[in-house]
Amino acid sequence: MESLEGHDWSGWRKWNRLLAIHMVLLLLLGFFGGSPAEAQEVQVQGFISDETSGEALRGANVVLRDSVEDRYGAVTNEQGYYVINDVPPGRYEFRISFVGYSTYRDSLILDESVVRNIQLTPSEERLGEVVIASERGAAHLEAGLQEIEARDLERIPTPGPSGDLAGYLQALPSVVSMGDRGGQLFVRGGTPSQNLVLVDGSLIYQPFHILGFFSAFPEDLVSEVELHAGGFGARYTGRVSSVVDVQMRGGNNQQFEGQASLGPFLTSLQVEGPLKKGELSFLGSTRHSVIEQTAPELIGQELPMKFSDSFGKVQYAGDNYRCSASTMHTYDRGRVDVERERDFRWGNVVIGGRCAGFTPGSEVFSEVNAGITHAFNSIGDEAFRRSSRTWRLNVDAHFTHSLGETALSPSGETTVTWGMHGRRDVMEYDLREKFQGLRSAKSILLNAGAHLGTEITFREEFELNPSVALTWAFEYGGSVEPRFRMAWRPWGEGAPEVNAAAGLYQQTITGISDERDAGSVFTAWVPAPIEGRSVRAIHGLLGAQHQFDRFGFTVEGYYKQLNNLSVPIWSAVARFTTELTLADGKVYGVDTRAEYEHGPFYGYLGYGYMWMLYTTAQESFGQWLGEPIQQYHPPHDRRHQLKAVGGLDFGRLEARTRWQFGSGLPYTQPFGFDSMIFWPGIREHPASDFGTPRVLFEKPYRGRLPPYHRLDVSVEYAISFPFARMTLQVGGINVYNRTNLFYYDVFSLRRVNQLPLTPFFSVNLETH
Amino acid sequence: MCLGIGGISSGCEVEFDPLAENEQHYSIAGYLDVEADMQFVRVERLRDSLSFDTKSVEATVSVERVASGETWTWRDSVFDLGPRRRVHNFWSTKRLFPRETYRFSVQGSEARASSATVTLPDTFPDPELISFPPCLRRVMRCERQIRVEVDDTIDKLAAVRADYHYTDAEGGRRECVGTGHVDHLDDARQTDEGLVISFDWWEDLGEFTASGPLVTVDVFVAAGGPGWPEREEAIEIREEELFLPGNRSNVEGGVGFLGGIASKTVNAFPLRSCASSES
Repeated sequence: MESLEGHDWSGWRKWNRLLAIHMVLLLLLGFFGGSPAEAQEVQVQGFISDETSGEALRGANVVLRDSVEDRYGAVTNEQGYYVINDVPPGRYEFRISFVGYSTYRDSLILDESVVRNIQLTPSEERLGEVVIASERGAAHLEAGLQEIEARDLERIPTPGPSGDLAGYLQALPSVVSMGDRGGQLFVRGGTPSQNLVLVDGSLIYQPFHILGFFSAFPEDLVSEVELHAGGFGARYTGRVSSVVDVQMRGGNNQQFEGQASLGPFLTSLQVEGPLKKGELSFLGSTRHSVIEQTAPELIGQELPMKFSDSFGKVQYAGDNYRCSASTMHTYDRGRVDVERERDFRWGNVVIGGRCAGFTPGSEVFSEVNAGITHAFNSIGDEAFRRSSRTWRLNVDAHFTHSLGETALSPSGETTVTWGMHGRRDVMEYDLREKFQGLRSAKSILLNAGAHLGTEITFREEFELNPSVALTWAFEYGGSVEPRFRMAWRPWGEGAPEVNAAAGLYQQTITGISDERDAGSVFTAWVPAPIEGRSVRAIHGLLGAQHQFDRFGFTVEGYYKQLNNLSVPIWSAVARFTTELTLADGKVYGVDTRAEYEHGPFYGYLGYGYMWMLYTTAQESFGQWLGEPIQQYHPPHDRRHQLKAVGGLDFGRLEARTRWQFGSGLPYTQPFGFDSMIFWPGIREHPASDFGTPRVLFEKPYRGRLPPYHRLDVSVEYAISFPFARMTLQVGGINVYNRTNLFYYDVFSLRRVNQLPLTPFFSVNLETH
Repeated sequence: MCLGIGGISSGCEVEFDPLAENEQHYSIAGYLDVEADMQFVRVERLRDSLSFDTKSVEATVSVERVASGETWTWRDSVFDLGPRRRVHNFWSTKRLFPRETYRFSVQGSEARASSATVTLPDTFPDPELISFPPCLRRVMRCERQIRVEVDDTIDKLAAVRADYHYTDAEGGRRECVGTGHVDHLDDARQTDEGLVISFDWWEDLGEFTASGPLVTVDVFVAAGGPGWPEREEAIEIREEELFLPGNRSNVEGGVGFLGGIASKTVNAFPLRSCASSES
């Protein structure tokens, strides 16, 4: 059993220093040890975008081929940018291909470096069969990293006309949700406050809505999402578990479009169009829930939940840079337990700006982000409200040097990425003893940091990506966080691939919540609440994947070690206030996914196994349970998850289904209740004092709630008009009406169930 | 798995009982007081919810004097101690004797039983009021110290407490509307001559909130039986620790603590009991 006095990090520190020295040497080799570029060699670079909307296309293949079939190629990044270095002058076939678009072909005579910005035309193929062998899809998992496109979100039946990231994430075997409400997602054992969610590069604290099918990221607004379930690189700092990096799309810079939708859960309105055709666009969207009004008719019971979100973005696409400014606002209010008079409220405001581009002739691609984030969170009513508020000002810059062939990658490529950030966080809370010892306070935390990494490719077989993050949080000290990622394709492209990742992670700003109470989604953000200790984690991942023609399969094992977690202590007193204590955690598990797509059929099956254990010391455990140190499985330790998604797409008619199974979550079993007469000093007497109500618990989290499973279905039919397209959707949540338990209120011996069979019908009207 | 038409039409019920089964049946809390005319003990069934009601405990409560085997049954009453605070206390007027051992038993149906065995302490002389305030207002002429002495040592001191009875905000009525208790177990000194208790009532007023002027002050002294924890232990015990199930419990087949005590109260100001004036 490990000491709870703190993990011994001295070994790590030494290793960190060594790694930092090696990183610098590696960079020097990269910069100066590479093959000296021939004077006459040239460079081709530019942006690739969609012709009809101007949207950047990530993952497009750009190839130059000469008469003797020598090939020079690149793949576009998230901004649609590509660069091909070290090209000898001459005549080339210039070819750009991307799934769902007509292949672009041109002839280039290169005698000097050029910029080529190309717009691809969507093909009919986009609506038909799509070859799964792209680097997307649920079964494409590279050491914890999954790239998610908007069309992936569409595959999940969602009670609204479009898909949503929340629904999609819950269909992954690496993500645990406590139920269909509360908006709390746990990724491979990490708690919601350990997940870093970014919208266009800016932090957003709690973007998942109170009704679990929805988030601030609907399919219509999302361009793409990078989900790092662990093992992420040094660009991301400040969270120890996972990263959800969401790129929102910009407005159409070619033509005006709009859409409106109406359903029993929410209504939405969206407009977009060019402010200057081909260059400057806008996009605005607003959504408001109506389930509070429709639930009594729909399911015959009250559902006092309300949520809304709005998003706006202005985007400029220049010849060699792209800039955008965006704003997002979300609001949630409601009761997780309908019968309990306890309202939760939370909201986010994010205002951010981003510029990314290059100087023609330079191998450097630059990106600068600036953002302001505000979030609030409260529980209770006007008379007695606990609340937490936080503000963040963030500026970060990232630079990618494409070095082409170097001494480190004689027949491959080397890129070096580095960057820096500065953050100012203000956290304010008024907890009224929710967490005893933390009542009300205001904290300001200044944080600065940098990251440095390189990606080296050897003959397309090996990709190595070591990186290191250096952060300094004033008052809490600095940290050196080495990270490492790799991919190995022993049989070349298109053959099975092995991926691995490892890293050290640190989180100073911690979200504390009462994990004893599954019905509470209140989180207070505080800097290192116990003894100034930051949460630390070590990740290790190893996986393999293979993409056949229409079939993809991946299996990945992971391990996370978590230290200095703030968890509530256990006490028998029946009250919702608690003290906090430190805990260490261990998580390991396996994700297995298979995906098949052929013709109109799509199918996906995912199985996740997870085992996690917290170890914590509590003085009173000794008297209660015989030992002062206890180990327990925390309440989000869902051991088995099986998730299946199916779909049929006949163009106008689409059918979707999702079935999910989860084994029971741990809970602490009570064996009775009484009122404690405080006898020391004979301060209470049964004839005159009621005593203090107490719940008599067994050892923490030794019981398991029953497993849950649920089937959701939807069918859509599209009707086209000359200038518009109407989509009608009908479906149901929990179609076999299982009374899935959300949690059990031990104080009242009352079960709180998830949604019963919930039919829905929605209409979406979209102009084009 | 419940699928199919039947499941859809009727719903797919999932039964779940969150309570763990174990061999603990009743909670017993209170004191057997050798000096009291009437004994009260709280008895609760463990598997009821926190929202207590007046549902019968459905058990027979009896006490056996171990030395003689004499056994008698206690009576059940519902006490209304405030809004949604109705509880079952069992009571008896039968006299208890010092240094005797009693077994308190709760016998329910289906072999559900809990019991606690308690030995009562010896009695001690009446506490004597040595100094007391002439008035109960925070002015200089009102003596701050209250001093009480017991002319004998007490083997195991269980409680020394000042009980401040106060009236309502207007102060017009002389009836007590509330009581503030201040613990002085730590302020009691055992000397060769006996027990000396001295404390500052001005300081005590900061320990509780009274809605109106003070009416009377009583000093409560109790001795504990052999099963009562030592004084230092009782002073230092933490609330979280005390509340843990089974901790410091002397109940077999259940939880709680039944103490054996001998208690006496002396009136410190005015020299009459507020409670007696009410009655």
